Amino acid sequence: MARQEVRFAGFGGQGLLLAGILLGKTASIYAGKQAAQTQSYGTEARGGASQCNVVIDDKEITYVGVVNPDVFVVMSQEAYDKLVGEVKEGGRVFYDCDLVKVKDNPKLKQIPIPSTNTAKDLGRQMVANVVILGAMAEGTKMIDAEHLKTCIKESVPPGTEELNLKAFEAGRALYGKAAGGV
Amino acid sequence: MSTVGDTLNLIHPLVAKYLRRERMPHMACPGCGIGQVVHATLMAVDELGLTPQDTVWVQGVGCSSRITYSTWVGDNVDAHHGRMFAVATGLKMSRPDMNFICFTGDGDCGAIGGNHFIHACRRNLDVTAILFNNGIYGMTGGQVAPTSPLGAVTTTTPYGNIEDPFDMCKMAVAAGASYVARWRSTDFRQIANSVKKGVQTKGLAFIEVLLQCPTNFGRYVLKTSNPQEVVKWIKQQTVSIKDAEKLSPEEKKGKILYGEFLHQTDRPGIVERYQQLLKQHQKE
Amino acid sequence: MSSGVKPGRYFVQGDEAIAEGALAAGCRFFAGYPITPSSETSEAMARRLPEVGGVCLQMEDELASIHCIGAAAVAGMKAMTISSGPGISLKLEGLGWGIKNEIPYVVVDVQRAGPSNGVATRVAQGDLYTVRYGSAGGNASLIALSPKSTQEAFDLTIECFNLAEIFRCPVFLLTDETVGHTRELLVIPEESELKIVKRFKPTVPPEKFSMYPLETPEVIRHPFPSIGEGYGICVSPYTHNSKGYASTAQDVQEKMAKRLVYKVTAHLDMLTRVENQMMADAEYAVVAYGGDARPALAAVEMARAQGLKVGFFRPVIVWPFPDGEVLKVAEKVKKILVCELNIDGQLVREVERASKGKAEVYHFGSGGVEPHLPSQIFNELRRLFK
Repeated sequence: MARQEVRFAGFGGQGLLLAGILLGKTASIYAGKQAAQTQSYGTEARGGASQCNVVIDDKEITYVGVVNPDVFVVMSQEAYDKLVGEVKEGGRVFYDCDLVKVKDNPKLKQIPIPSTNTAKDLGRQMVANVVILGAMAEGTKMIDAEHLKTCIKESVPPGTEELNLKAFEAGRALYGKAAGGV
Repeated sequence: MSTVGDTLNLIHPLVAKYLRRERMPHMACPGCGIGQVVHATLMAVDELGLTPQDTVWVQGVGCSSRITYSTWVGDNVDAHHGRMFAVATGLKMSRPDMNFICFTGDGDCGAIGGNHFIHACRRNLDVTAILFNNGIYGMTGGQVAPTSPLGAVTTTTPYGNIEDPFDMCKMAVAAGASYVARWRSTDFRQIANSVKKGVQTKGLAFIEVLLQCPTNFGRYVLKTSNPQEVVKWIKQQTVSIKDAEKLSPEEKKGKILYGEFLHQTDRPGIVERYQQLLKQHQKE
Repeated sequence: MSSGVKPGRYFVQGDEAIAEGALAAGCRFFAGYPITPSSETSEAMARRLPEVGGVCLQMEDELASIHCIGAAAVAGMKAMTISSGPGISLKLEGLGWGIKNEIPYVVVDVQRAGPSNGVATRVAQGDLYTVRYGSAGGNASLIALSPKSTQEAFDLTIECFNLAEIFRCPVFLLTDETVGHTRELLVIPEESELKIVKRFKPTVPPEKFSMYPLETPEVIRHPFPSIGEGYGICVSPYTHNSKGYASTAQDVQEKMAKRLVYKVTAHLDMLTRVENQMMADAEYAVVAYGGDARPALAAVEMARAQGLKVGFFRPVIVWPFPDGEVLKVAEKVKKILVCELNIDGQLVREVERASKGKAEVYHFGSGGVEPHLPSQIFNELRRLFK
C-alpha cells in the first residue's frame, strides 16, 4: 500500500480525535503497518474547528503530517467548506450528511453517511464518529475491519464496547447503501 | 596556622559537637545576631537528640545562609537565592524520614522567595524554617528589604523607604503553616523551645527572629554601629502578644508582636497526604 | 526496583513516550509546571509515578520545579522536569545549581514557536543555543539529545538518564511539539533488554571521598552520595573546593571550571551519535534534527529519485556538537543545506563552524508552526544543488 493520508475534521467534541487514533492504532499495532497521527485545533475546546490527521504507509513514514488527504472524513459544514479543497484529485470524501451539504465536484467521490442520526437511533449521538469510521473502513478497505473491531474493543471506555461495535457495523452497512447509490 | 579549637576549652561544647571545626570561625560580623540564633538552634538540636545522620541543614542565599552553610557536621544543602523552600520540598518529599532545619532571610524568603514560601506553607511541608530577619540586605551591602521599616534609609532608599514592611508571620499563618512564632535574638531560650516545637510539629514550622545587623541596618538605618543600640531599638519596636492584649490601639500602633502565633496539629501536610496517596495507588 | 513499564506495542504521543522512558530509566521523582506542549508528559507522570511508588509534584512555578528536582537528586532520586521555551528560560538559573554541583537529572524541552509566548501549540526549534549557553556564567559543557520520533523519544530519554549518571550532570532532551504531539508506534522492550545505569555510590569512607573531584577533572562515573548516607555532603550555588566549601580563590575557580567542562569534553567519543543516510557517494548534504529531520530525509529521497547525489545527516546528540562528524561531511560534499525551524540560524551556525570552510553551507530556516514540507526542502535543494 502506498502512503495514504486521511483527514478527519469537524468541530471540537465530535470525537474525531478518537476516530483518528483508532485508525492509526489499528494500523500500527494490529495491522502491521506504519502510522502517524497528528492534530490541530481551534482555540475553543468545544465548537472550534478540529482536525485529526492520520498517515498510513507500508514503509517508514518520513512526513507525519497530512498535506493533501486521499480520504477526507468530515462532520461539520465549516470544516468541509474550509478543507475540501485540499483533498487529492480522485480522493474520497465521507461526509455526515445530517450536518454537511456538499458542493458538486466531479474530481471527488463524495459519500453521504447519516452518522449523527444513526448514532441517535443507537441511543448516543457521541458514537457518530465510530459510525462514520465504519463507513470509511468499508469504503476504502485500507485497514481490515476485523482489526479495527479488535482495536475498538480494547480502546473504548469499559462498558461501551458493545455500543461502539454496533456503531461501527452500522457505519459499514451505511456505506453499502450509499455506495449502491453513488 | 592556628585554628579555633587548638585548645579544647575555647570551644563551646555545642560547636564542638555539631559544627565543622575547619569552618570556624564563621563569617558573621562582630555583633551580628545570627550567632545567637544558631546557638539557640544547636541547643534545640541537642535537647531533641537530633543527629548528623538524620538531620539536614538547608539554606538560601544571604547572611542567613552564608553563615550557616557548610558548618553543620551533617549534610548541608544550600539553594539559590529564594529557592530554599523549593529545595526543601524536593528533599523532604524524597526523604520524608529525615529532619530538615532551614535557614532563610528576609530577602530570601520575603522577596525573591515569596512564592515558594507561600506554597510551602500552603502545602504544610513538614520542615522547620528559621527566618533571620535583620530588616535589610546585609550580605550585598545594605539594600532595602521587604521587612525594612517605612522611612528606613538604605543604600537603595537614600530618601527613605516608601514601602510598608511585610509581616512574614501573618503571611505564614494565612498561607497555612502549622507552627508560627516570632522572637528577638535575645529571646534565647524561647527560640530554642520554638525550634524544638517546630521540629516536633508535623507540618511547616516558621520561626522568625528579629535580629541585629550592626554593620548595615545599624549603620544606614539607625546611624549606629553599636550592636547593643540595635538590639535596644528592636526591643523598643516589639511587644509580646500577651502584653499587647493590655494595650490600646494607639499604644499598639507601629509595634511588632512577638511570641507564638499559632500551633495547630490537625491539618495534615503534603508529606503525610502523599504517603496516603501511595498507599492507595502504588501497584508494586 | 522493577522498571515499572510494561513491555508491548503502543500508539502514543512522543510526550507520553518520554514519560514511559523516564520510568523505564528508574525516574521516581518528577516536578513540573503545566506548559503547552509538554503538559501531556506531566499528566502521564502524575498518573504513573504513584503506581511505582514515585513522587510527582506540580510545583507553583517553573523555578520551583527545577530546584525541586535538583534537590530530589541530591536526596538520591533519579529526577526529571519538563517545559517549553519560556519555561526553560525561567529554569536557567536553577540549571546552574545542577551544573556546578554535578547533579544528575533530566530536563526536557518541548520546543515551540517563539520568542516569548509565541504560539504555544505549534512547533519550532529556537532553543538549541539556550540549552547549551543559556545558563549564565559559562564554564559548562551541556549534554543534549534530540529525538525524531516517538520511539526515539522513549529510547533517548533512557539515554539521557544514563548519561546524567555517567557524567554526573543535568542532561537535556531537546525535543519539539511535532515529536511531542505526533502519535506513533512505541515498542517497549522486555525489562531484560533495557540498559539502565544506576547511581554511582562511593566505595571509600567519607574522609577519603572527594565530592567534587577538582584534582581529576576528566573522571566520569564519579559517585554521588546523597543526604543521609553519612558523607556530610555540601551542595551550594557557590564556587566550591572539592569538599563543597565556598571559595573565592582563583585557583579553586579555575579547577572547578575545568572540572565542569573537561569531564564532558574529554569523552567526546562517548557523546557522538549521528545518523548518516545516503552519504557514501553524496555530493551534497542536507542536515536537520528533531521534528524537522524526517521531512528533510523525505526531501533527500525525492532528490535521489531525480538522480541528485544528496545525502542526509542528523545529529542525535546535539550537544556536544558533533564537530568531527560534520567535518567529515563537509570534506566529502560541495554544499550543505541546513534545515531548521528558526529564522535567526542556530544549527546552521554550528554546521558552518564545524565545516571549517570545506563546504558551502546554506540555511533553510522557517519560523515554525509546522515542520518544513518535504517539497519545500526539495525545491530549495534543487535550486542550490546544481
